[in-house]
Amino acid sequence: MPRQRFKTLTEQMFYILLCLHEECRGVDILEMVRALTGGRVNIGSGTLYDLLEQFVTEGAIRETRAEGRRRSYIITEKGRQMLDQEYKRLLSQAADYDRVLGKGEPL
Amino acid sequence: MKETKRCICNFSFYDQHTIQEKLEDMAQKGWFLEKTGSFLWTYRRGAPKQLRFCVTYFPAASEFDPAPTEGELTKLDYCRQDGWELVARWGGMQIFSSENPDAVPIETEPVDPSPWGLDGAYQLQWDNDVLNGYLFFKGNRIVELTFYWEPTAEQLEQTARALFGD
Repeated sequence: MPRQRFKTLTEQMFYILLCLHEECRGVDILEMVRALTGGRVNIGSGTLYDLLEQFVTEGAIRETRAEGRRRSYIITEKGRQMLDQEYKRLLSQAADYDRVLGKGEPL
Repeated sequence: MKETKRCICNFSFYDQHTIQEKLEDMAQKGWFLEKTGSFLWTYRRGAPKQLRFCVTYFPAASEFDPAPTEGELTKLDYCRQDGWELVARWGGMQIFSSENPDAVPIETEPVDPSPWGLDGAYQLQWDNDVLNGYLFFKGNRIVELTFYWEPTAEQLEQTARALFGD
C-alpha cells in the first residue's frame, strides 16, 4: 500500500517546508537545504519541482510572486502544522531511543 | 566518415536505467544523442567523453504538445540550475546530461511515472504510434487494454476506476 500523502514527511519534504518559513524562490531552495544541512541532504531539482507543486495543491505553501518562471513561495498555516507534527514525531522517536538505549552518545 | 547514425530504440518507454546506461555507453564511444523517435534514435559523432545521463518523466506532457508547457519549462530551469542540460524530449520523457560526475540526481525521491496513480501500472509502447497498449496491475489482477488513440490521463483514470474501483 502506498503511504498516505504527507501523513509523515520525508527528510526532503521537511527541509523544503523549513526553508519556506520565510518567502524564497523555489530554485534557491536547492542551495539553502545543502547549506543548512552541511551537504548531508541533497534534493534533486526534479524532486524539488514536484514537491513544490504538490505542496501548493495540498495548501501547505502558497505562491507569493512570480518573475517570469521564477516563483517565490511561503509556508501556510497548514504547512506549519504539518512541519510541527513531523517535528513532534521526530522528538517522540528520539525519546523512545533514549528510553530503550539510554541517553549516552550513540555508537 | 559518417557524422550521424541511427539506432533502433529497443527499450521500454519507462525503462529509465537502461536508457541512461545506453546513452552513457554511447557517449563514451563518441556518439551523442541528437534526436529521439518512437523507432529510431539519432546520434551525432563527437569526442568521446564521460557524461552522466538522467531520464525523467513529466506526466502532463505529450508528444502532441507543440512546445513544452510552462510547468515543464520551470522544471527544466531547476534542472539547469543544478547542472543538468536538456538533451532531448520524447513525449512525457526528458533526457538530461551532465559533465559533473557528482551532480545530484534529478530525482531523489521515488517517482511513480504512471499519471493515473494505479499501483505498478505501466505503459507498453508499440512501434506503431497509433496502437497504445497498457497493462494494469492491481493486487493479483492483470488487465491488458489497447487503445486506438493516445488516451488522456483522465480517460485512463476513469478506465482504472471502472475496472478496480476507487
